Amino acid sequence: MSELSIPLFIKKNQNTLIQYAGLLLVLIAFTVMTDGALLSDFNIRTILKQLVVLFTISVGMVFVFSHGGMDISAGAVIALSSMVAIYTINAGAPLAVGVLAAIAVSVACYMVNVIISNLFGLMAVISSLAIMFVARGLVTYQVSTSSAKIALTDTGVLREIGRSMPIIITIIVLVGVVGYVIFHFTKIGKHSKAIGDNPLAASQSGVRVKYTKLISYAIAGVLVGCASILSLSRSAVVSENTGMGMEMDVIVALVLGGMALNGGSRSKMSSAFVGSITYVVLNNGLVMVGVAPEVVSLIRGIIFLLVVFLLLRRPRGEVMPR
Amino acid sequence: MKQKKWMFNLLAFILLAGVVLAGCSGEKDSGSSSEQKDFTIGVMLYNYTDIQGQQIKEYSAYLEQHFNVKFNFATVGSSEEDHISGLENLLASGVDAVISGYDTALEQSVSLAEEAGVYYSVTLGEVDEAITSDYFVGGIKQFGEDPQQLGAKYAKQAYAAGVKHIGITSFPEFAFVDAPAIIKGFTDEIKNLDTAGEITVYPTEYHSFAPENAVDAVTKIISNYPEVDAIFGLGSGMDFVYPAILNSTKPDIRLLALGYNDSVTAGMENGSIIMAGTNNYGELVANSFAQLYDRLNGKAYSDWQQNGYVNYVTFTTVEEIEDFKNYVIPKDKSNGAVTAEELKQTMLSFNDRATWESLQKLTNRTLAEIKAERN
Repeated sequence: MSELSIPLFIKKNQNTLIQYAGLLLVLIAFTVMTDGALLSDFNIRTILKQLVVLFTISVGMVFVFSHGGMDISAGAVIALSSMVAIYTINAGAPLAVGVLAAIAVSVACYMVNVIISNLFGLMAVISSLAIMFVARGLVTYQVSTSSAKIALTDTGVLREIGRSMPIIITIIVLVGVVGYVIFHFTKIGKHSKAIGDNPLAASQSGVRVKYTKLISYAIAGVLVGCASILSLSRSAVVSENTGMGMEMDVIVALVLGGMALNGGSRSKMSSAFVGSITYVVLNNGLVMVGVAPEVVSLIRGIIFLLVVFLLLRRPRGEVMPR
Repeated sequence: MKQKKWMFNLLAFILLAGVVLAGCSGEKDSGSSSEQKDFTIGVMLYNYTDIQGQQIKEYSAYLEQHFNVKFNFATVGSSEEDHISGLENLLASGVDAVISGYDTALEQSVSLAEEAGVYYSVTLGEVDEAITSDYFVGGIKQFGEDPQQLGAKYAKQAYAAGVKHIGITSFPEFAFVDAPAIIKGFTDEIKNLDTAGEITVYPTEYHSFAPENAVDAVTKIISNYPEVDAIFGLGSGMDFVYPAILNSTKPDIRLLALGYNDSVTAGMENGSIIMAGTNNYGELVANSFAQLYDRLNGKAYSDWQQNGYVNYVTFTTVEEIEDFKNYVIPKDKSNGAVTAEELKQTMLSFNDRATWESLQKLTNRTLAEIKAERN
């Protein structure tokens, strides 16, 4: 019985095993190639500092991607939220007000995004493209017309947040646990997955499709707003380039973590965790090893392709008909 | 069955390619580590594929042959988060100093370097002098000591070429902080030279960072001022503005460009390019490296200033372009802009009487001066 159950277990959990095997492979490979320096105290702290921003956004994006949504505005929204936070804090408001302002801006962006998508039946990626242009445009306009750099005048408290290991670990654990619970144990997560599998069937089963999408985007908005503060705590400044490419980093991290970008019942919160760590360790390890910059993108591409290829070999029975 | 076989082959190919690549990089690493270099300097640039990135790598390789140093190159994105992550990764790799191409998130970057006890420099631009640290060796003015003089140099060439109606295009001021000074130097010099009042310089058209943005700027100039006969292109003059002119309704507009690529020679031969220019990559790296290397050896110039300067190379003839290739970016860097022996004379690690000013003088040599030194 037990002999039969091992192959069955592997077959049943193929995707989960692939995502963890990928992470393990990256960790082992770079630990060996760096003579253990990858796991040094200094580098673990480096990885955690880089992880907190990407992970926070990725958790939010799991809610969006699980119902088949797609967002490419995260980087621009981070820039806009960070800019608003800087102006709020520099005006003398307490840090908490600055954080709330950043979250409010981010949530507003995601609400506009989902409302446009819901009202006009637009593909989510198109509405997020519009939000990306507007948010990036606002930041670029402000940066280009501002006589001075848009930077925090007093970096004290925020800088501590960005460099304090206890705070960073607490945030990672908190975001991960809350995200996991909401996604796997509440209606929001379950309904999101149902919509991702088949929106019509979900609707006919009593799932409020538009409402679920709205809440999912709101959660993503809150987390992207929080990520903008975490990002700001690392740079203390906003430019026209702030958050540039972050949306792609998140998508790549989620795919590396085994997330199916068309969502559905196979969506897992662990994709955010595993994918973010894999992505950060991969970037960190390539620099640590001293890989020639000309081949860095190629190596990343090959690893990405390999993971996508393995995940694509999903048994047909697991995919729900649409 | 066929599909399964195809998929298996694809997977095998990907794995094989990965193993081969990993093997290549491994060989490279083991080779360099056996040289037992004393210092490692990290370099952060957007890319190493354009001429600037390639030349910086080549000059760094030349320095590795003549100093006990090894370079670790990292590609960074343009965002603050990418820059800081790139810096953190380099610090974690154990570098002793960092040459950053840019002043992105400067305060936080310097602070991170200071915490790690690593020296930090900015090589492709001037830095804010309010940001100080014992571990910060400053930045470099890439357009010479006074960018206005560079603008005046272009103005003299425009005047000599006889153009009368000049448009200007540039990246926005917030991204190209030297642009206002260069433009002012240009317009002031045109006023000085044009005593008869025959030359008109139109207001600057600012554009963003994509080629199509430069096309829009050129189109706007042609629409507003149909008589325009020359454009001074400050924002990627050769890569963006030159193709925009050639594809416009007035391809006979002549160009004064801040920029260089392989089209310059042909453009000068047919008269469509009046003047072009580019960074002196060797001088830039030499300036930053000399200061970092001295600091790593516990030496600092008594006359040190936060912002050094290097000469910006300009060309007005095909011969000058050939000189640039032969004396600034030759394959053999011992014939290039700054040789190791010349550099050692300006470094405290090798010469007790060296000064910061002597380093600036060495790295501010013009193309003609470098050529004269080599002959």
